[in-house]
Amino acid sequence: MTAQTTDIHIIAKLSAIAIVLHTAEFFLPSPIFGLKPGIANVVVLFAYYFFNLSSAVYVSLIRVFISSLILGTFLTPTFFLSFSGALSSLGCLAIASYFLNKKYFSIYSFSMLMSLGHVVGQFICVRLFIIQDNGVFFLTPIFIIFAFIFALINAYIVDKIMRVSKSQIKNDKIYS
Amino acid sequence: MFKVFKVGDYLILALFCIILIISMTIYLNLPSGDILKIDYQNQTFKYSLNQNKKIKLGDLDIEIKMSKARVSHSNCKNQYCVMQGWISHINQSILCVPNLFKMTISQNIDEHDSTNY
Repeated sequence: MTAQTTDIHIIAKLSAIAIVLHTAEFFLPSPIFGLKPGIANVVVLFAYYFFNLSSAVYVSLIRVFISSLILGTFLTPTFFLSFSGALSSLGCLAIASYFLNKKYFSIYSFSMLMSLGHVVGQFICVRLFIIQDNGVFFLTPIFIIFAFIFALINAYIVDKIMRVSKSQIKNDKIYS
Repeated sequence: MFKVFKVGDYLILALFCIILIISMTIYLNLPSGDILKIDYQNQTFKYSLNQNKKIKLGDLDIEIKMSKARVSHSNCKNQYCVMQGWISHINQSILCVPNLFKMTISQNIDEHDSTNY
């Protein structure tokens, strides 16, 4: 029972942080529609690395649903875009965590695979439901370049957080 | 940043670069077409792009030159069709809604309907 409550506490706290980051990021201007740094994925990666895959899945999905409710985009194309991106990046994370050994693959590769999955999932969703034309694939190189850059930045942030707070989190308990 | 990279990270990095190069080469070097298909007020015309020609359709002037095509003059208000400029790749198109005009570049072979495919 106690283990479950602590899990719920952790998931709630991490998803609160993720929702705040996602909502703040929504108001950033971007040159192309939908081009965003995806800073909330820092929290998802953090949840995956410190706890386990299921908490990362919870944090990501709760983040998508609640922040869309806050921003008023629930069940609009924006929501479906971010939902499909979150689903496919989580799928990539699950596959990667199953196949990749952490001895040889660091957080950077997980982050890169997640961002690649995000781009691919979003493009599939856009092609199937929103813009039904092959012309959308003109944007893939741009999106892949930016996904790559932001994946490295996000992974760098998670790496820094881990280095600073590894002992702190283990001993001091954010469980409370 | 590169100090903390492990062996596998370079593999993923290489995979990323390969995907990027493939997507670049496919979508930035589209093959150029050789047929200009024009839909104008329920009529369909086809012209070869390998010629220099000026076509007059009502108030529209269409120009074909060096396997590119454009609308050089139109009487519509916004002039979007003229501002599109030259088109030469497959599936590029120019519309002029006030004149019920559409022109698309396609290849000589039969292609899939892009909406259904």
